Amino acid sequence: MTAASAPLLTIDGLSVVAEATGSAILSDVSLEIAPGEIVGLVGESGSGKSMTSFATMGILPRGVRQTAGRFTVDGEDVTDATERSVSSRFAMIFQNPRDSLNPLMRVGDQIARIAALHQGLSRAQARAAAVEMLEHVHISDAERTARAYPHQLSGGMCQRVMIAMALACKPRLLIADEPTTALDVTVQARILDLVVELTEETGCGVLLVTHDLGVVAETCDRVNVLYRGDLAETGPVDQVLGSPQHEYTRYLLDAANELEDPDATA
Amino acid sequence: MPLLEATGLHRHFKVRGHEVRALDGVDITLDRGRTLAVVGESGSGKSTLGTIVAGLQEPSAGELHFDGKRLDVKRINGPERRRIQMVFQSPLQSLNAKYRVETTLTEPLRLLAGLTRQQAAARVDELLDAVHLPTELRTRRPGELSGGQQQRVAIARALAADPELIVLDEPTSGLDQSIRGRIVKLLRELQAARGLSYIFITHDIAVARACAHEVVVMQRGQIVERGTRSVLDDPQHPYTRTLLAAVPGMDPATGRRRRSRTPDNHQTKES
Repeated sequence: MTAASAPLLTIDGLSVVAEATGSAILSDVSLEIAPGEIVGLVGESGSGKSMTSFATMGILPRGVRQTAGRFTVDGEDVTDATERSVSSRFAMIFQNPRDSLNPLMRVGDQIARIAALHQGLSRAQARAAAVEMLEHVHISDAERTARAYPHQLSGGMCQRVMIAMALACKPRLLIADEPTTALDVTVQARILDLVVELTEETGCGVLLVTHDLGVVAETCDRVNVLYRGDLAETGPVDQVLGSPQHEYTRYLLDAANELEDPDATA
Repeated sequence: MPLLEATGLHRHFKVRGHEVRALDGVDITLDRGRTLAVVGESGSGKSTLGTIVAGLQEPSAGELHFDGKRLDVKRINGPERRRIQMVFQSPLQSLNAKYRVETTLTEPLRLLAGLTRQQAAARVDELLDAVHLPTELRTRRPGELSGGQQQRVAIARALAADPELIVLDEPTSGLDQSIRGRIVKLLRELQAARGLSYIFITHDIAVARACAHEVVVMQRGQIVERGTRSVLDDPQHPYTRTLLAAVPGMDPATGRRRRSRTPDNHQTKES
């Protein structure tokens, strides 16, 4: 983050518990995202990465409760705002794009609906906006794609549709929860390029949730490492990955590099 | 003599009047105690190849020779069912959710290795031990295990039949990076101890590099490049190069991807 830019979003002291057992899922997690900044959130399964995104969006699953923490957007406390994600223009994309889309609705209509809702457009305007959004995410035959159902599109195309839908809310913050985990590496590369490009173009902030440190190294400006619901380490990517301070970060890096050992078999 | 030799494998499907060639003339050979990594993206035909070798589907054309003998490609049963086993990507889907670990493991021991109930039960601890799982887990069901533990059970189930060849279809893809390394280590250890041969299907180049003696790179049902593991360090075919270049590197110095790509890169059709 450039020191000059004030944070877009500040999460302060977020704690989340499982109601049934009272066990902590997140303990006192704080992080900041500046406009145009891509902030990574890494950790293993169960570390609380997704719960952090759900809590921020205000979509915590049933049986999980936020017990502490404030969300500040542009210096304004929005913790108790109804429909925080709508008023603050947060958008989210998920790991499995096809599952996040409505299988019974043409993708253009799904994007149009969001555009109509968020920008108060008429039906015709919204439909035109949908095609425009699809072009924006570099879908070559946007008119035709708009008429397609999710099952007719590849995983990479579905993720582009999800991103188009996110763009339709003109988001200030995009939460991308493992957006490329289910995709092939060559498709992943193009989707990550797209996220970076849109970030630079629209100036929205991105919270990129991933377990892949390679993705973090190539994409993020800063990174937060979560370990069992605690923020283990936070800082600029080159610092955290280059000279990790926390034992757990070192463990993750070792695990990622473990397979690079060339004496493997031979 | 190679343990497995596949020649001219084809697998064609008719999809809404169009012919889809999932496999389009594939040849592979695999020696005992070796690992052949099959690398490629979704739709390249790598899983189709694996399931044909494992006898789970038959090819449209082509032959398989196993241990010098021609395999009946239509086999569902037969002696090779024991000798060639398979491990799938998602243990939660490939393990019976209602079976306790011991049931999962005694079934192949009884049906494929021909042991009695008592003999089979006696071997369960041994199998769990081989995959480094505590024997207390024998009464658990898959839902009560972690992802890494589940995959170890799936590997133990494959081992139960005492196979010579195991087809591993993305066995580490659903796992955390830290667990991934441990499963790869376990597979290498089992290979060394038991002289197993593996067909290791993966889209993960780091995993392929860590396991493979030989590598084939598949694209659209065909093998575009083959060779020793060095293929992954010095790729010749443009597709292999694209594939390797797309893998995100761990070097933080490369920084945010400001590759300022040419616009037509974005137009490339996906999948």
